Amino acid sequence: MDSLKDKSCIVGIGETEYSKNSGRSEMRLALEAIKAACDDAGISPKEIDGIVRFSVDSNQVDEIARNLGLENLRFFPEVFFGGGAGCGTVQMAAMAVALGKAKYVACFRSLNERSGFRYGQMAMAMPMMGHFQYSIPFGLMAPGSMVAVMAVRHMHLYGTKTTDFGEVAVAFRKHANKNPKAMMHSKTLTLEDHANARMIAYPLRLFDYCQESDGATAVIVTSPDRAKNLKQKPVYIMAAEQGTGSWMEMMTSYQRKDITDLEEYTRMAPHLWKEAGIGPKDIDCAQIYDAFTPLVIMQLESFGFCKHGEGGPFVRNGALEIGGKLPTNTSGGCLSEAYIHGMNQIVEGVRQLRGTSLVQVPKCKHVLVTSGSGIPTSALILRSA
Amino acid sequence: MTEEVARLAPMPGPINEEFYNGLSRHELVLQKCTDCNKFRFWPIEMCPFCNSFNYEWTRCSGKGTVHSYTIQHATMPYPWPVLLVELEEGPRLVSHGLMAPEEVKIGMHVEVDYEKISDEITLHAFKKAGK
Ligand SMILES: [Zn+2]
Repeated sequence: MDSLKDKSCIVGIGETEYSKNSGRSEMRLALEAIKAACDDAGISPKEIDGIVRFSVDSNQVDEIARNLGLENLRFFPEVFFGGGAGCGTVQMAAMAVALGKAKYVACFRSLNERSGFRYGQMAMAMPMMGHFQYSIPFGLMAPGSMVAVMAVRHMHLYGTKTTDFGEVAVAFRKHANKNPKAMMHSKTLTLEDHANARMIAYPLRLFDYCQESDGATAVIVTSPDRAKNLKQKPVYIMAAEQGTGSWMEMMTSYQRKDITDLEEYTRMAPHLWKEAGIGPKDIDCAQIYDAFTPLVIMQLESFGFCKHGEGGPFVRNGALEIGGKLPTNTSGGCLSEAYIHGMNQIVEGVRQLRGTSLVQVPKCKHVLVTSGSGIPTSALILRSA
Repeated sequence: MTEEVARLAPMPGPINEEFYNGLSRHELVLQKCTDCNKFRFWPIEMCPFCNSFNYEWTRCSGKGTVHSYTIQHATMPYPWPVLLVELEEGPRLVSHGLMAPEEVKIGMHVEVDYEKISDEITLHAFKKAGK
């Protein structure tokens, strides 16, 4: 076997509601999402024999297995680096299924990120050891500030505008306005609102920042053969990759030759396209990890939707909206649906390929899903059956 | 605003105590590989250029240029400039900019200064380079 292409598929998706205060434990949320994904697939939770967790998740697999009553869990790796892990958990599952190491693998993320530990306030909660001691004490207090440093350089070199960041925020908000599950469902956003919002870390204003959310999301991966007898049309995993780059460090890879190049994607992308056997022009819909708006622009460059430095012009005039040249984050993304470390974007990618999205791209055949930026990360290319 | 700035203090360990000792003496010292002569930051065991374990803590000129920046408008007493300074020796440092926020420009020449933030810890900061 020299490729993972089409050797596995996503057959179940499950979500809790997304909120600012779930009122229940992260374990309870995880179990609800996994159970919902099993129901969606048409399998009993007892058929799960593999679980892949985010290493930052508070829920350990043995406790999940006890709750589900699993007696023979055979595969239980974890993927590190916060939001970079999402597509990587599906990659682990796909490899295990392809090699016969597990039959039904659940990948999940569960977090009370708003009512519990808030990543945006990490500085106050962390002892100043490790590499963050070289940024946080100088005033780079949160992930958004760390991304702002890259954004300023991108603006300087390429003429990228803050209105380009606004285009990204507005496009995803429009999608969220059609998705009742989205935290920003009832709140509209214009370019003017974006430009007038509170400045947090120049050049980033309030609506350049993602949501803070409580909730959980899960998917079930199995083989194409088993998928034939299940409830849903399978969504095939065409390619799955992890990626890093030079001088990689969490959020502050500032020793790189070019800090506007998200090398963790740029170096991964050729492997991803090669395995899938398609290119950027074949992507009908993208689910791009959007913790902060400039990172969407830089990822479009990394994955080859446009040349390096041309992400700003690319997103103008509603390019990322439904009907635009690359409909992106059709459920609202991290910016406007919920921040479940991007697992909710994998779920939306699956819905697009089943034809069941609330913001459906017509004849959607190929979807790119990416995970977190500025950290070791991962991505998927999915296709419809 | 006259409020005292509560700066979070790093916790030095074996790999980087020389870096902080240098700052306390008002010297910016970084690891320099004694095999390929390249500087690196932040402090790590091995030279990522030639994989040598040999290095010396070596004083830098303290001169550099602003490679990028952000202006904090939350958390710190704001507006608070944070610079990414590219040193003459090559490595880049995140540092506090000791100038008015509107003066900060990419490419501007800066030189090191020092801010004592606690009895034990002094940090580097950068000001506009003198003539
Ligand atoms: Zn060396």
